[in-house]
Amino acid sequence: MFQRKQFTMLLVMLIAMVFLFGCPMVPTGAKPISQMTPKEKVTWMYGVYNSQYADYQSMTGHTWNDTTKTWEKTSSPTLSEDQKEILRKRKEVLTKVYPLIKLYDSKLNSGAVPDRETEQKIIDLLNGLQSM
Amino acid sequence: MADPALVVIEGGKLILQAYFNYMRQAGKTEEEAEALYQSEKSQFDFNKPSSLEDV
Repeated sequence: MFQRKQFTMLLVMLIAMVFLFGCPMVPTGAKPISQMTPKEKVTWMYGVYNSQYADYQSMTGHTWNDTTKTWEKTSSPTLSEDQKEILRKRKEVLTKVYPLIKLYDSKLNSGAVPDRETEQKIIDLLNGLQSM
Repeated sequence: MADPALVVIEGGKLILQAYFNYMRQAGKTEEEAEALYQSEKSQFDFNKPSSLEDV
């Protein structure tokens, strides 16, 4: 027969199992890059590039039109020389990193393992963009 | 004190429910990850750096 202690142990084990199986998985964004799968890494790369691109567009008065799927000029903000300098640097990095991300993903889709050197270069460029 | 047989049955039900919940969540997470990848990729294809205005 079950004693009170055994019964409590069983309950604790059951609750632990429920938590173990029931907890949702950690979302991609919460993982450090080093722990991401190549697919998660490329999704992260796209995400950072897109948000930096959107930021640039917004600073130069463009908004995304979801119907026409285009960036439209909706205003002409006045930018200081410092802001312009930052934007020029951002554009330079965005231009540099775009083909690298494309290459990384195409290698991934062809079943090849993207080389670590390119991967690190992309990560460094994107981290640099985020800190601008 | 509850009937031990009942506790085992209820426990088994809970474990099965938790297992199916886990499997469903894992599948959903994979689908969500794929959907996020596709969405970011298609936006990336639109976001060509050559289209950025010079300042």
